[in-house]
Amino acid sequence: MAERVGFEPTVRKPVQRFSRPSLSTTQSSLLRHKLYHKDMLFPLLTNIFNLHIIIYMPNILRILFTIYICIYPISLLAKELDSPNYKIVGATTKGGGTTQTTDGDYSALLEIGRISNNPRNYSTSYKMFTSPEEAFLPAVPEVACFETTTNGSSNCTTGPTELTTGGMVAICGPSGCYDKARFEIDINDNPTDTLYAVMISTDNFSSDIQYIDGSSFWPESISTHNLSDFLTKTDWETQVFNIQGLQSATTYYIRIFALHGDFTQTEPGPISSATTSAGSVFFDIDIEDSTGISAETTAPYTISFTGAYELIGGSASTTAEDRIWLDGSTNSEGGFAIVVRGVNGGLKSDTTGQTIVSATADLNTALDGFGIQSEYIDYDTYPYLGSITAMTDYSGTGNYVGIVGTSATKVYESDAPVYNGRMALKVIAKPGMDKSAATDYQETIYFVLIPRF
Amino acid sequence: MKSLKTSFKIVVPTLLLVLSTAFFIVFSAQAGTLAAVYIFMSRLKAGLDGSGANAVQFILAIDTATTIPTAGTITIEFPDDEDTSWCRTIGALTVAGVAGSAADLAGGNWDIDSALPTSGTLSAACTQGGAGTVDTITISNVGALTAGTTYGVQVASSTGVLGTNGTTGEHEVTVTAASGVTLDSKSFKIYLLGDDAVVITATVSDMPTVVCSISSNTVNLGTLYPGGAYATGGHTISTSTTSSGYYWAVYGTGDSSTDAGLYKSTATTHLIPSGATATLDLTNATIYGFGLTLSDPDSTDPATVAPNFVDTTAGTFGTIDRLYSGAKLVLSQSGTQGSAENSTVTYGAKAGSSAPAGTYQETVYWICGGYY
Repeated sequence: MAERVGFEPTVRKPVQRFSRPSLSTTQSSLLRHKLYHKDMLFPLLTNIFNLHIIIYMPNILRILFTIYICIYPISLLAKELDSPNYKIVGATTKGGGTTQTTDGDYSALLEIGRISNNPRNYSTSYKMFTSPEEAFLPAVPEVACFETTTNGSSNCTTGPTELTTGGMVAICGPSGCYDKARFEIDINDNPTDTLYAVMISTDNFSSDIQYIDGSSFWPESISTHNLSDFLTKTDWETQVFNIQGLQSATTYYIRIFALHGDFTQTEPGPISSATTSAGSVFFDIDIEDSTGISAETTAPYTISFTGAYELIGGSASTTAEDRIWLDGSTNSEGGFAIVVRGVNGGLKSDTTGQTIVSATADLNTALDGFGIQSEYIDYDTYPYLGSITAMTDYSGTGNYVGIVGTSATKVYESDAPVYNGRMALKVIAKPGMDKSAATDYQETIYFVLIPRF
Repeated sequence: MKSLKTSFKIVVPTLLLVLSTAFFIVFSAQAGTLAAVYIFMSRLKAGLDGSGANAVQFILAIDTATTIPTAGTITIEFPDDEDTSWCRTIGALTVAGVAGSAADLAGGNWDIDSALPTSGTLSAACTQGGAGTVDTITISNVGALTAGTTYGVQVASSTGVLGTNGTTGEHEVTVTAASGVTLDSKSFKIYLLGDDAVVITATVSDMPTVVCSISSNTVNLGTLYPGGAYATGGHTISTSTTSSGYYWAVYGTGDSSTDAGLYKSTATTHLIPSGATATLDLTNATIYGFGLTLSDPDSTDPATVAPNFVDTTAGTFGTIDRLYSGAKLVLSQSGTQGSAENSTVTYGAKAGSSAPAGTYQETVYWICGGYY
């Protein structure tokens, strides 16, 4: 006598493991919740006759027995759901699946019949067809690449050239991506209109299971996963970063399943993993003259207006011989800001009590002043990375300078990750005729680089 | 009946305990990543102890990916192996919402939209890590955080003291916004330097000066006889300077058309010219004209009289030209001259035999300046 297997959406026993090719995951998920709600209370009711036993027990046994009754149905249910080696035999349907108004995106087969899901037909990467309708299933897809921090090369082939030749660091910045990733799909000869969805987990699908949203490309919970999250290979891979919203320094596992028409969702494919970057930032200060593009110097950092660069009251502006060279790199998506702040708000002499006040000004026309001016900016150019710009006040020419005040002001900025940023600032001063001679005019400038993750 | 009541006293609470436990198992915390975050520290120097000039404060900008309900907290956690270096002293911190910062990226998620909302009175404190715990800054009584809005808050030392770890380089921090079971967090890096300051020093000197003076503005050469001997007259010039040197130059007026020299402007006009040659030897019977010499202010000093105008040969004078364009350098010095030094100017003139009687005059312009 032939074995019959059936499915109906309201059946109480958990059957979603063998519900393929009948339900989308969303439906399975919803069904599972229903089963929990119903079955958790059911044994309590059916076993209510046991209350008389409880009444006449010692207290400690009452507690233990109560806990047992509560946990029993949960354990039983979990055992049924997770069982890797059972088959449903002889079940019949009664004309079952309908399109649910709450979801509207799935339906169920009315009858399947003549299927034997012998567990020996399964492995982690294949399943032997057990019925003619399974011939309609697409092939189980595999992960062709799943990358976050590759450097210098990539297994991804359909992304931008920078990725394929330079790895993820070429499109995410130093150390790679800390909050996003790229995967590509090995479709295993599926038709081009086959849809794919992606499961993602941080514990290899032990308890943390999410899906990738087909619009935002952020992880989403099972409860919000729906047919909109099934995209073609082309649609997935058109997005350079097709997984976003990840945590830094975290290993993620993904697996992909395919869908090609109703009731054809496959088993998820093999698992692939990648670890996100912990973030990256670098900052350095050097003092050297205008030729010091590659100079590396150590603290303390000082610049002097002395000797040939001595300031003369009432004279024209003087540019210090040395420059303030800055190195800045980061993979932070918001790039970085470099801000400056002075202690005195200008060159101050304790001897005279006078200050050559810093201000944003053209020192050719100002009677007195002090400030800094950007002279040099360089960085590695990548189409997917950012650029460095000097703020308007600091990007003038001639003797136009930006303020070094006691409040922080931004001097340089990038709006995206930057590789090997190098900048140089001139220091220009002009003491007015009212400034008395002294050798102790001084200002301390603090430099701060803020990466924006 | 009593036994039944007793049973319910035990069974009902036990049931509630089990069911509530199950609730928390099923509804575990919803964790997501922050959409955007930055920490703008006031100092990046490693090893700041938070006291005096080493005080540390920061502005936090935070944009959550999910809406965080009110009455939540924001925590900033530092690496476990850096305990007690970020929170130098346990205690309350000064905290206030800020609506912007110098580190904002205009138009992006990293642009503070508004000050951190409060639920009651915003408060903050830092705690030190130990075994299994980390230095943590906790901001409490945070109002509801709307996803997509970037909030700003500034935290500074108070009873609690903030510092920096003593190791240069990258340090991972974790920022978490949470309320109840909802939380968003992100771990990222900040960078500490061995020294975050550039010290600018300057020597300012007074503006250099040069002081020049002429002892007399008029010189009477007396009476010249046509074809007779030459006559002389003079004055002194005096110079001091704080600059790198000084110079004197001179030019004449003459007849305003042909040459410098003594000029009789009334009829019959006549010019006793300074001449086209560099010098005039007025001791020569055939030579007449107008010129001048200068004495060396100090033979040991760097002051130098131009060769044509030295006074070492009696009767020989250097000639001058008319107009500013014809000015000739007659005396110069490279180097400062702290005290005034004098040079004697001697004018010499000799009238030719055809010179008509009358009053002759020349206006000689002296130019003095400094080398800076």
